[in-house]
Amino acid sequence: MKIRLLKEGYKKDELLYTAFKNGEVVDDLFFSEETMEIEEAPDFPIYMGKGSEIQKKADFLAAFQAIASSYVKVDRDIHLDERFWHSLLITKKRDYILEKYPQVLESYREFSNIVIKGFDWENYIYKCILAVEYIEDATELVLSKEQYYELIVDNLDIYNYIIKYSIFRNGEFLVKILTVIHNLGISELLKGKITDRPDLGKDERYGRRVIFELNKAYPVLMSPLLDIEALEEEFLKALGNYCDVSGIESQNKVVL
Amino acid sequence: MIYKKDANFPYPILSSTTLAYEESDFTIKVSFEEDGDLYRFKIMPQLTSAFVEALLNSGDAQYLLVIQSKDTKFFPLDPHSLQVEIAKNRMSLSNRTSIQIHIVAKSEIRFDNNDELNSFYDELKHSIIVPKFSMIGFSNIVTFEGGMKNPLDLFEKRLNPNLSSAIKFELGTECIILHFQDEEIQFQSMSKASAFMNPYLYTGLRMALERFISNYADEDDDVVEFSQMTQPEDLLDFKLYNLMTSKAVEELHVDNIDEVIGRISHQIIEKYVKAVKELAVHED
Amino acid sequence: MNAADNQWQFSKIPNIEESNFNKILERFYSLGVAGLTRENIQNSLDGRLTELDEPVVVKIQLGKVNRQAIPGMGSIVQRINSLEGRNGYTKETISHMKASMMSEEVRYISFEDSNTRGLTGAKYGQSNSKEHTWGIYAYNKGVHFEEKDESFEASRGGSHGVGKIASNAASDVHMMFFANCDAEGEQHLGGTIQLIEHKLGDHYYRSTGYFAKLEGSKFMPFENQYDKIFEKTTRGLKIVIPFLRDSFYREDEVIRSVCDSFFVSIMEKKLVVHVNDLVIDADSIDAIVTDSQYYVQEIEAMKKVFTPLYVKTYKNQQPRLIEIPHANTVFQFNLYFNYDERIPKGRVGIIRTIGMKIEDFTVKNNATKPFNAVLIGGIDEDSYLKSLENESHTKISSDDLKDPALTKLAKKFISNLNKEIVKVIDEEMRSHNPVDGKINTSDLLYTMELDFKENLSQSFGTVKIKNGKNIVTSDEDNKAETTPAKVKRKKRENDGAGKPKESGIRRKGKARDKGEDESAAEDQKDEYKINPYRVERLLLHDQEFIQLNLTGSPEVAKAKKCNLKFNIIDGMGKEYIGEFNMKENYSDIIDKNTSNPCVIESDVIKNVSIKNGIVHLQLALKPKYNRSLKFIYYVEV
Repeated sequence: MKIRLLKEGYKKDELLYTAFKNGEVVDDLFFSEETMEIEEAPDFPIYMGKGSEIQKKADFLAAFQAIASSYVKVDRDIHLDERFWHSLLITKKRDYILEKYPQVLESYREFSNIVIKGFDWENYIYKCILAVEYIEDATELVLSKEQYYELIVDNLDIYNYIIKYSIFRNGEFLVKILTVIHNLGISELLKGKITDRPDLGKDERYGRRVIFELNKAYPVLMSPLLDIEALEEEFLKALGNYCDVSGIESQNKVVL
Repeated sequence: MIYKKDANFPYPILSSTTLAYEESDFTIKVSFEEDGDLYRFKIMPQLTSAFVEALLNSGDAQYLLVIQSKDTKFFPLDPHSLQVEIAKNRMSLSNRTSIQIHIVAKSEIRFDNNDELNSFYDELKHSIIVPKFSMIGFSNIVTFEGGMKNPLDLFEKRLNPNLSSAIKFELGTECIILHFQDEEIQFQSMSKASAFMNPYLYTGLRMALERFISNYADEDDDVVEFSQMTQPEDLLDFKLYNLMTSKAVEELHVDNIDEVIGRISHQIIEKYVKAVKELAVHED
Repeated sequence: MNAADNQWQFSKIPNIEESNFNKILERFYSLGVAGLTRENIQNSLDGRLTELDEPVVVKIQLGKVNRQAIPGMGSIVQRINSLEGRNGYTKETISHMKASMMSEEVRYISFEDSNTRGLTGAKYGQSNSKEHTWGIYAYNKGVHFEEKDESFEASRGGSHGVGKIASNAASDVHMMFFANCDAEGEQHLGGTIQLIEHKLGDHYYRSTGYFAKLEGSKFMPFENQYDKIFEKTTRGLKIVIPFLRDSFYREDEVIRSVCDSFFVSIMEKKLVVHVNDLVIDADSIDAIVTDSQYYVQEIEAMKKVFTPLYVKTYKNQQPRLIEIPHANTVFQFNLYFNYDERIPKGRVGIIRTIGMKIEDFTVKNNATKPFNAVLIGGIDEDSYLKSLENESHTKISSDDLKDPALTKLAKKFISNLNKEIVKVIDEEMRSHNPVDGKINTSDLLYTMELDFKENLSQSFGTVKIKNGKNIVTSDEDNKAETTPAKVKRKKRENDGAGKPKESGIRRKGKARDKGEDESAAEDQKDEYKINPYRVERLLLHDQEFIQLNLTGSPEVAKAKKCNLKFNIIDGMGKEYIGEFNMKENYSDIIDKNTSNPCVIESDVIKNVSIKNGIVHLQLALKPKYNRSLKFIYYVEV
């Protein structure tokens, strides 16, 4: 399938939005000369910002599955390219988007937020494609891929922080952190808000602070190089700055 | 992650911008080549610290290559082969990419016999212990702003109704020239015509490489060794030479011509097959 | 049964000979609402008022109406209930009619034309006069009234004379009405229903029923005083089909059908079609065919429907003349031709002069060439093409011709047409793919080049100034001041006597105007950022040593005392203020210059001496001290 790439500057072009609403994004004036070719482009959820937790989780897992079966196999030049995704969504996925996210017709804001959202850690496609790339490409997984995908969705807050920091945006590190969280069985704790430390700011959570501590320590402590056991130790040490960790023990030891 | 911010570490760091090591320095250069489905980055370090050098040799420290583009990849380097290979589909060269080498402790490191530090450390260095997995030095950062595809003009086509055969190959001064008796032989009237030409191109490449061998191979074994040969004067050969060296072809002889064509071209036969299959589907 | 209150007339026949529904019904049914639309618009175009230079306007309404609005339902229900199916298909159809006819809410579609002649002589009813088209239209099957003007006759769309029945086929009960308003403003309503031959009471009846009065042996129409959906008050004809089949109740399909078949008429302003509220005319057709609601828009995916391409081709291309010898004449066609590599299937839209497309013509052996074309002839060509059309006007072929000589000629014509178009295709392909010259192999043969920059220089921390307050922001992404390679050596050479830029010590903010802030005036100090290379720091087991060399900046070095602050730098080089609490991390701090203790506050170490430009501290660590941190230092003097 050939995807015509939108012309640079499309993100600021409200005409594009009008044309999208009317299903009229066909005129050459919207497009550059460039195209990208991919074999297939299955539909998958592209926005998990709204809805119940159950729905979000189902959407994430559906997205992972669709991406793992298709998009992740194409070159990074394509699947990590913002313009590719936005062009694909606008030219080929209009029907899907209108059915699943009818709010994009309501305002340009919704459209920008769902369809042409900047391709970074806050973008759901970005989150999903990196997750799938990391899990599918991983050579040493101690749990099943499905378990890792579930771990990502169940630890979304910490996943977001990992891919937000470019130092930790690394497949092996992600897998190891997820394994540690699984071993320690502390998903729920990490999601929790830190309430007894007003000095830290409003929305601080235990998981985020752990990642922040590892960030501060880098590269004196090269945490991405640590093995599971060492990482577990550092993880608990970092967590220990914010809560009592004496009760946390590795539950089912799985070691790389 | 590339480390680029100067800051004061809890122990002496070897880098171009810190003065804990009085004279020692650590810089790198990077070279790059394509090899089939891989990109290969080769690192050429310049390390003037005997202390760190010894740590690397003893295995107490290790080079860690960090490549950062869309995300960060870490590659511990084999001290004997300072290079990494990355699958092309997992490396986006169209983005800004930064490369740096960290020197990382693989075990606890003591600094007792580090004679390269400034006087501040004289009385203290016997107490320094740097823990495992700590960075003890980092290099300059090598960046590139994305790769450029340089297409090569290797082929020309000519229509010549007076040709005594349907098709004729000629090795011209700059190009491989395909002569056609009839435009239909060029698949002139077919869409996707370019892919149908691929077998011709393959044949042309083969011819040109055969001549390349006869021109430049060693007399005794009929092998062209690229590390030994000088750049060809002939323009066509020069283009082929550049193409082959950029794709990490080390030698060329009659038995590896097809392999070499596979390396220097991008799916020439596969694209032909795909075009034929597509045509077969359409013509229902 | 009382004939007087019966509005539907069925002729009596001696016995039942034919037990089937009219075969044509089924064929039109299979063409769907698209075929229905096409047939009715074509009829309207045929009925255009030649003396008027106005486009024919066809208003298509899809809607629902109450069953009571439909005249004569009582007698129709009675008729349908009397029908007896003799085979599976007929039985099924009858039971479908029975199931449909009682619905209270009835779907309908109507086609109302204007700038058309309408029918003539309605008031004479079944007159059998060629002048009275009402009589022919209303009460005859398979005949169409021929035009006196030959060229007009040639350009007419319909010729098979079966078009009317398309409307019956669209109805669940095979019912259709036609409301006519003639030049004199006389308004009548007629209708037909297609049942099967049947027995009612003691009599046998024909399959076709007419909505009419019986005057003697003649059918006469009713004056139109019926529901609004039947109303026709301007000259022209209005076809109303109640009990519209569910599968025909598709507004978007109607719109597509109009564009597919009549884009040329519309673009030439010969036709305007309203479909409910949507007006399809020369101004709006572009927007409609480029709307993904109606048409697939990706050129690569246009494999069955080509209308968006045709519209573009017809609008943008200059026609070229195609000549095709035929018998002893030469047919001339205009060919609008567009070459585009993205087009997956090459088709020629063959158009009649009234602007109706007959066929998406496939050029032999060129079905997948990347082009799109529109072919239109003149009157002579039109009349010949018409003879080659199949019954539903969607294909030209020699198959329908009976005369073997004509069949042969037709085959030759089609073959010549193929040849001429192939010439154009080849010519265009050639001009897009020159036979001589470079072969573009950029997708096959290329080298990759990477342009490396070896940053031998490093950033010297820069400082952002914010109103003289002690605010430091991340400077990871700021343009770093750089120094050339061999930084180390140069720095050392500059040591002590360097230019301010390279002193490694920077004042943050302006020199204070001490009088400005009275209460704090005493404490107001200037803050300097100390470049890491001017700092030595070492962490040992339970203590830390820090030495700052301030000699690069005489104004700092000359001070006797300072306060020391430091900020954490994270793994990405971002600086954090207030993230490191001195009190929680250090138990004691000794000034090595004086051996005196320093004052530790949460964010600052106070009372630090400067001796010969050097600050030197020994700090005792608390157990929870984080040994992995790195810092940037600031002094206040």
